[in-house]
Amino acid sequence: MSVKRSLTLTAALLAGLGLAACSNGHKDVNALTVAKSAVGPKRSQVVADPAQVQAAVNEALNVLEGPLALVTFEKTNNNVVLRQIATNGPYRTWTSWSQGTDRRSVTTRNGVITATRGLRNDLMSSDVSQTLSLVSSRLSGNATRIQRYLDGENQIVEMRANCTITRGGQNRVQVGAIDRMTVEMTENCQDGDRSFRNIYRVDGQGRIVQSVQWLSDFYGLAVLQSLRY
Amino acid sequence: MVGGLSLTRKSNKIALTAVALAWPVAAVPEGLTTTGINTYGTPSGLIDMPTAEMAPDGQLNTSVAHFDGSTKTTLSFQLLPRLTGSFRYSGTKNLTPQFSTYYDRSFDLRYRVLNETKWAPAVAVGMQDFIGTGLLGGEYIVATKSIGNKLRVTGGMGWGRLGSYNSFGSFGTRPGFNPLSTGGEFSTDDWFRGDYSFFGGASYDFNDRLSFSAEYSSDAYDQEVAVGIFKRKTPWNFGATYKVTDDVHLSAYSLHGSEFGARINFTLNPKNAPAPGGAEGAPVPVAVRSAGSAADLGWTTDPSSTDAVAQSVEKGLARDKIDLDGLQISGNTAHVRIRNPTYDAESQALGRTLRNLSRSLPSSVETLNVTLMANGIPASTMTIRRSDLERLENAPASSALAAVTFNDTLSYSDFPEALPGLYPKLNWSFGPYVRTSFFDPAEPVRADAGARLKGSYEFGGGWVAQGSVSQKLVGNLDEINQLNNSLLPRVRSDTAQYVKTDGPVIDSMTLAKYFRPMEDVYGRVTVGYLESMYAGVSAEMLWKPVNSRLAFGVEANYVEPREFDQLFGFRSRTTPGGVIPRASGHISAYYDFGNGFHSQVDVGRYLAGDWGATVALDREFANGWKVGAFMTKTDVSATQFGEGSFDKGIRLTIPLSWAVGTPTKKKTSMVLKPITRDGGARLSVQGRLYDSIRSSHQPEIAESWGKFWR
Repeated sequence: MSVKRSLTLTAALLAGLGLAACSNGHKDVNALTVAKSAVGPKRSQVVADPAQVQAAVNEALNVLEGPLALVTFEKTNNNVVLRQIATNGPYRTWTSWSQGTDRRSVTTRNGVITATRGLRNDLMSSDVSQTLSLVSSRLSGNATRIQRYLDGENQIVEMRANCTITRGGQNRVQVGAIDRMTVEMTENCQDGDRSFRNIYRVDGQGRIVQSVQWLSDFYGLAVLQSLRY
Repeated sequence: MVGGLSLTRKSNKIALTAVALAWPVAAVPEGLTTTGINTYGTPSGLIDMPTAEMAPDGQLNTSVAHFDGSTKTTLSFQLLPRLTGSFRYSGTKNLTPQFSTYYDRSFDLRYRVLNETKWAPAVAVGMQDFIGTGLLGGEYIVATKSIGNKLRVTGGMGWGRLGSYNSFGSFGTRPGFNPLSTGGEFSTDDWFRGDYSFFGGASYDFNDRLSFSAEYSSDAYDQEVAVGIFKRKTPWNFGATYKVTDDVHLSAYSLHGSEFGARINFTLNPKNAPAPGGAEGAPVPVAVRSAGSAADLGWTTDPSSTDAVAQSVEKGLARDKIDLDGLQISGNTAHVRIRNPTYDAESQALGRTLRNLSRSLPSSVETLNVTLMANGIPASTMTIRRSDLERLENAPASSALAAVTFNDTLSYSDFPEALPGLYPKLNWSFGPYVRTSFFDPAEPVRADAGARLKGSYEFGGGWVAQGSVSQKLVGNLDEINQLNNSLLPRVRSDTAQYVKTDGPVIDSMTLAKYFRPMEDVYGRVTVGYLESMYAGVSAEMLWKPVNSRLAFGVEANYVEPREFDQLFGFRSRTTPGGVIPRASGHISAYYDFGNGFHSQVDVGRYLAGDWGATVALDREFANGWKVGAFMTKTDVSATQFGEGSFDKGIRLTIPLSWAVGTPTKKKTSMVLKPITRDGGARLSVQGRLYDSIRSSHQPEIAESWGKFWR
């Protein structure tokens, strides 16, 4: 009989036993929530079929007032209609329109994602002012962007990337209540061995209408588009 | 057609480049690391020999290595990037005539003196079994050099076991292995003494999963060869390791041309959480007041509006599973007291409370005071300006930390009363339990399992009654039949008697009063059935300023030993080893080094009436993991103490939130002691002040501050 193996199993067992208990307090972590979290990222709102997405977008435009957006997480191919729930200076915080019990949010600054909550390895805050000043005025140039993540030890890990922004061609974007000409701006970023690329489509007033943005290794790329300002 | 979908397709190309990227982690150069281990369970790319390689910082390796007649089970921890500690339980069949299997516990330490450079190898010094009976005792100086990124070559010089074959010199004499000694003392007479010889080897990573190694061993296996349980035909060993997953590694090896062995290693690193940062739902955003609204004090004329605010705050906090305990609003200041039964990082409870306050409080309120309650008494108050909260929501977390202050609640005049109807409050839980016993030579692991009902009743004002009753359902702890030969009053060594009952037992049943006599000082008095073996009175005072890393405590206990059936009765204090004294107590110093290490020193009188001190050192990760060791030396001689010579052990705390990815205060703690005897034993009282207070104080909150905005 291997003692340490048993110890490991015992530790797991003890932890498991804590889960099995019932009590009169707040609904705490229990065996069921653990089983759910073990299944991986929640996919309660996976809407991948284009017709369905279109229907959800149309419904949201009819039912809701105020700014709306659509985000697509590339790793899960999950399309979520976002509505704006708060503003703080230039920052807007969005959450899913048809949200169930799990609360997740995305914060943007003029269309650039600066924070996420509830996605794991969350982007806690960003400094994108240099990127934004170039992108919204549709100018090529260099920018430094800072993205801060929460790691497994509850520490903030800062990523500071040097980016080159280049102006590309024109596109017409027709999504939701939006129909306008845009200029495509590409941001190529490098931080040591890491590299990633963001693409923004910017309208004549400097607003980012559509974008592909690299969030994190956990969530990969997000496609964000405005449905209504 | 939704225009974004074409963009999604386009993004797939980009995805290919992004997915291949390594995720940013705080890059601290750690030098030559390996996830491999040797038969001793210590980080090494070789088979039976050590190397100068270290495991990644914080790594825990749990391994079992076996060859015919010999099993070593080892827990190794990378205490620092350059320091490894190991605890091992090994069993060798037919080694001595006294035992059919000779079980032995041993501790190792190894330190890397020099990191590898482009041209020079890494150099480490290590000691195996340095406080045990010396069966596995050996010391070494070893150098390892990587050549390219696949090949590593090691050469070293060893003493003890590692100097027993083909030695080429000697320093002094080495007393060596004595199977009948009490063991457990620092075997300083042995360290780097006696014969020394050379060992060496090489490891080669064939690919990401498979690696090979070969070594020249300097271990003659003298003890084993002498009693005829091992044949040593050559000094050469060969092995292969396969990584089944990143966390599970299997190895097979040949030893000295006569034995085949196998090893399994489970690696775990507290720094790598399955869901980094947690997968819990998003907090509510901070609500920003409109310009000019802060001047509006109209609400203050309407007394019913305060109640409406309290209801709104309570409702918001309830959604975040935080209890509102009290609320006081006056003009520009609000003071709330909360209980946090949910978030293991108090910073997160504070952050979520403040977010909710920003949505519920009248605009004129600018100063926010939040008091964290613990056991019915205020543990600390955090103050922040509401305009800073609004301004810093999207700023680096460190800016918010700089904007808050922590103070003793007693320095605030507006500390609110408890909400009406809050107390008395009954909490209960019912669930299974497991109780274990390790390292009994007759059966190294035993366990009982059963059901346990726990309840607490808070009267308010720091008065708490609590009890716990359990009923064993299955188990074999009652088979423990070790002869108790203790020469001391039998304060702990009668464990076997306490696990014989099949009836229900009262684990504890106490009434406690927590109080705040003055600023920076906390008090506790507990009366009743304090723990499974003792009943009586325990009183404690703690000095711990809110912003201090240092704390002092004093505790005095007056107890009577409980009957073995653990119901309401008492047993005689007279035991074969002497009379159990009633009084024990300690003065304690606690210090948080702030670099992840925490220490505690207790000096005083232990249960058996012995006087001495306990020193404990823990590595504490900000996510709640703790790995530590402690030792107690009292005025009891090694002979009086018996096997082990003095009390020592290692301990481990695993926060459940780390494993499941959502906040919870539940955790699993484990203490591994080579042996439990009567010297250096302490009373086990629930609700000791330091642990219930410190998580609300600035130093610990600052360590997990990353969770504040989460």
